Formats: sequence, C-alpha cells, structure tokens
Amino acid sequence: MTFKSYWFSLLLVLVAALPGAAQTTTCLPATTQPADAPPDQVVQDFPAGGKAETGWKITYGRAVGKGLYITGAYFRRTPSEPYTQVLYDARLADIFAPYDPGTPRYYDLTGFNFRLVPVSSVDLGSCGSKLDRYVVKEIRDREMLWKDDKQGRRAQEMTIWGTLDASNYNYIMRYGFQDDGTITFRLGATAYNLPGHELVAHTHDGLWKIDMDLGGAKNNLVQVARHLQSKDSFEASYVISPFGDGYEDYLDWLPEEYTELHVINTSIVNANGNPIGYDLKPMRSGSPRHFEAFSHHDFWATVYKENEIIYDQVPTYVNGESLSGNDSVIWYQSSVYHIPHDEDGRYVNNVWQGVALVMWTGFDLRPRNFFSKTPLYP
Amino acid sequence: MYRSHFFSILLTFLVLAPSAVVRGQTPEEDAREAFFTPTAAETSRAFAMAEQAIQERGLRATGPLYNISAELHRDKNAVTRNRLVLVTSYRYSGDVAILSYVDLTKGVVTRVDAISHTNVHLSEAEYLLAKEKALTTPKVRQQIGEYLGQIQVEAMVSHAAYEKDPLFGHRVVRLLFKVPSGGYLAQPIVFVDLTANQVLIDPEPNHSHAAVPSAQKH
Ligand SMILES: [Cu+2]
Repeated sequence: MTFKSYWFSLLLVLVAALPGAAQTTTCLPATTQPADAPPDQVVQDFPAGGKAETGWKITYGRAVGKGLYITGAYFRRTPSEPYTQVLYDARLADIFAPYDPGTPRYYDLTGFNFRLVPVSSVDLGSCGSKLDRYVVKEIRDREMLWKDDKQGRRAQEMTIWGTLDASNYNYIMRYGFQDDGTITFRLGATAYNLPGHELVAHTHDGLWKIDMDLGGAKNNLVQVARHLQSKDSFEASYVISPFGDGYEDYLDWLPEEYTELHVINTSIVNANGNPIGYDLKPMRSGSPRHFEAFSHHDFWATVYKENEIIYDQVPTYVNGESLSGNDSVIWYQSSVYHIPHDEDGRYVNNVWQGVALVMWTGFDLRPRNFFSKTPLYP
Repeated sequence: MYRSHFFSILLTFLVLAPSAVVRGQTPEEDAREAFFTPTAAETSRAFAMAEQAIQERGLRATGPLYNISAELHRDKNAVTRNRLVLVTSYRYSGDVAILSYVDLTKGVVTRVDAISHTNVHLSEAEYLLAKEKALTTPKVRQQIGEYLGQIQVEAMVSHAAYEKDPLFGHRVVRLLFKVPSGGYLAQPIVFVDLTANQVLIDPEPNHSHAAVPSAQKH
C-alpha cells in the first residue's frame, strides 16, 4: 500500500463511521436467557437491548421428516404482566408438490426421512446465531412499525428458522415473533428444480396445522370474517360469524371477501371489555385445487385430537363435532405456483446447473383487541 | 403382485431399520438432544412395543413391515407429562401406515391407528433396496454413464393418488442422481416399485419451456 492510498483508506473508514454516512447492518442484541431455561425455549424482549416493553417466550421442536415447528408461544404486553399463551403447536403438517402433467406428486415432508440441514456460516449472516445445530435465531430490524409524519418507530422481530433438505429441493421454515405480538409463518421453496422435470410447472403447497390456545385451550372460538361488497352498490360491510356455524367444517378463501379467521377467547377481555383475539391473515397469490380432497378448500377447523395429525386425512376428521366449547385446530393451505424460467438454471450436458431463488408463502397471526390501545406508541 | 410375493417374503426377514437417530457429540449434547428426539434406547424400546402392539391388534398381516420413525409426541389432554413417542410403521400389505402411540413412562401402547393410502417416509432399509435394485439395472447404469461411481443417490416416495393408476397402493421410490459438482442428472428418470419389485425408467421429457401437454392424465 502506498502512503497516498493509506491516507485515502483511513479517510474512508472515518467517513463510514459518521452517522448516516453508510448503510450498515445493525445487529440487535438478544435477551439473556434464564439460567435454568430448557434447551427448546427462547425468550426475547422488545425493544431488543432497550427497556423491555413487550416480550415472547417460545418453545420449538424439530424432527426427522417434520422439520422445524413451534411447540408453544406466549406473549406479554408489558414486563409486569404474566405471559399469555397464544400457540400450543404450529407446524407444516406437510408440503405438497404436484406437477402440472398429473405426475409426479410429491409430499416433501413425508417423502423420505428428510432432515434439517446443519446451520452454516452463510445462514448466520452477520447477525444470526445458532439456537442449536440446525436452527438459526435472528433478532432484526423490520423497518417501520408505524409512522406519523415526522414521528415513527422502527419495528423489530425475532425469527427462528431452519432448512429442510428435501432431496433436490430445500425448504426454509421460518417463524417470526414480532414486537407488536404478530407471528409470521413462512415457507420458502428453493434449490434445484426436479431432475428430469426441470421445466415442468408445479405448486409448492404449505399445509399448515395451527393449534391456537389463546389464553389457554378453553373458551377459544374460531370465527370467519368476510368483507361484503358489490359492483352494484357504493356501500360495503363486513360480517363475522362462527366458523362452520360452530361445527367442524371447511372454508374457501375468497379474494373479494378478504377472507380471514379470527380466534377469540370468550372469557378473557382487554381493558375495554373486548375479548382478546388473533387474526389469521393469509398471504397468498392463488389457491391450489388438486385431485386430492384436502386441497379442495383452504381452511378447515376440527376439534383437537391427539391422533389427528395428517394433512391428507383432514377431510376425514371433519365429522360434525361441535367446535364451540371444544379445543379447535385450524388447517390452512398456502401455495406458490412455480412456472420454471431461465433464472432457475440451465442444462449443461445432462446436468442441471443453477437453483431456483426462494419463493415464499405463508400467513400471519396478528393480535386483535389483545392490546387495549396502540402498542408501542407513546 | 404374485411375482412380488417371493420378494415380499424376503423383505420380512430383513432387519427393520429405523431412520438413523440424530446423536450429539458429548453427553451434554445428547441430553440436550433428548428434548427434541427420543434417545437410541428409547427408539429401540418404542419400536419393540409398537411391533408387539401391532401384532396383538391383528394388524401385522403378511409381507414386509418397516419401522419408519420414532418421534416425541405430546397429548394436550394428558394429565401427566409422560415421555410419549409416536412410532410410524409402514406395512406393504394394503399400503398401510400404522401409527403407534407409545407411553414410555407407563410402558404401554395407548393407541394404534392403521391408515391406508396415506404418505409415509421411506425407511433407510427401503432406500438401500431401491438404490441396489436401480444400480444393478443395465439401462440405468448405461444412462448414468460416466458418472457411475461418483453419483450420490437420493430418494423420494412417489405417491399415486388416483385409484385407477397402476401404481396406486404401491411403494414407489423416485431416485435422483446428484453429481459431485452439486447438480442432478436430468436423465435417467428412475422409479423403483418396491411392491412389484420393478425398475421403471421414464422416457425423456421435452426439454423446452411452456410446452403444456394438451392431454393431462391423473
Ligand atoms: Cu418449484
């Protein structure tokens, strides 16, 4: 290095250190875990590294052929209150990948004894840490939580994620626990297109099983919220009604109705007297409808049973049991349609070289009347 | 099916190989891992209890039965937090998944469910059979060509959903051939029907975009 270039480099370092001078990744600090915490538990307060306002306590599981899943999620609105349970269990019950010509039709969770890939340095990036050999934890800034002219607040979340090696495909399973009580569920499909069928279109259907126990397993009520509108009228409205009129049933997602589910606890109210709740908000670009009966509808709600765990059997689980007063389980399919393109890769002799970039699908669970006022607002 | 009978009998004498159990490096890691996975000893015990329960309930039938997996299980309605393990087995006869709910704390199998024509992992033992079968087939060897000896063979269960599909109810495995550089061979497209003891090679598909087949089959 010449003398001149030395001073130039030093100048660059100084400029980069000035506030706002350069875009750098800010890693947010993780909450110190309790000394006696079990290995499957994670706690995180928000704002990360600041005076705690809200906080999550979660537990997770992982298994061969199951990937990464959540075995409990508890949220608190203030540090002084106890945690309130939100989830008992939430997971991908399966991932279905049928190809347009009719065959093949793969179940990517149950296809082989597919495992999570050990965490690598590229997974950790600059801010990730290993929860264990297979699972990454990241505490990160997620841009704006709210804005009001010059005022605003940056939003934060903790994500935990792992990658399932489903042979040629990789599936990223990611769960985000946000400072405002939202939970995000994401499935990311990536890696090699199916050998021999590299150019054949197909869907990747995330088949989710969501067992919410909001404030405990009792007194949870699953509702359907629908927006009613018409091209023949200036007026619109919404209606909220019990899922399946209170019985096990299915439901389709209708884009014109903004279909979403609300789960409320009828015996726990916020300071305004409203039952605490969470909304299941779909994130989707389309609705899969295949030969298989489970795909004929987007939502199903069933009464919790220890042995009702297989997504392709869900239609047989719906047998007229009452949801009211019983512990309910929601089944939901979200999907991406993958039309192959040159960015996926190319043939070099007989070998496919290149990987499909990540395609995401999933849904969010967002608090409804869980807080009594705008959270994380002055 | 008649032809596969001998093969089925042969299979029954094979060791029921579970999916390999994930193990840590140290006793501390093993203890930590036990939060996520049954230990090797628990897995063996759960398999043995499941096999006995399947037999006692008259669900064994003839032909091969594989123990596929043992995973930790929870029952929300259980009063005590016992160590529960869910054992999944696959029975070739009838294409049946058998799910045994094992309470290791009490030493009892609390429930056994038999479910026809659902999706069940491939066991390591079946994978090895399918791989052996394919790699001893001359046409497969010929198409793998220069990569023979370097490829890594991966497997996926291919599930026929349509009752009139000739492969409906069969244990069919699609094999993928990964080359050392990381890519996969586009050809050959190999399926091994473990039920019928047959290797099937698909014809080469049209390698062009947007060629939507006009006649779609189930
Ligand atoms: Cu794809």
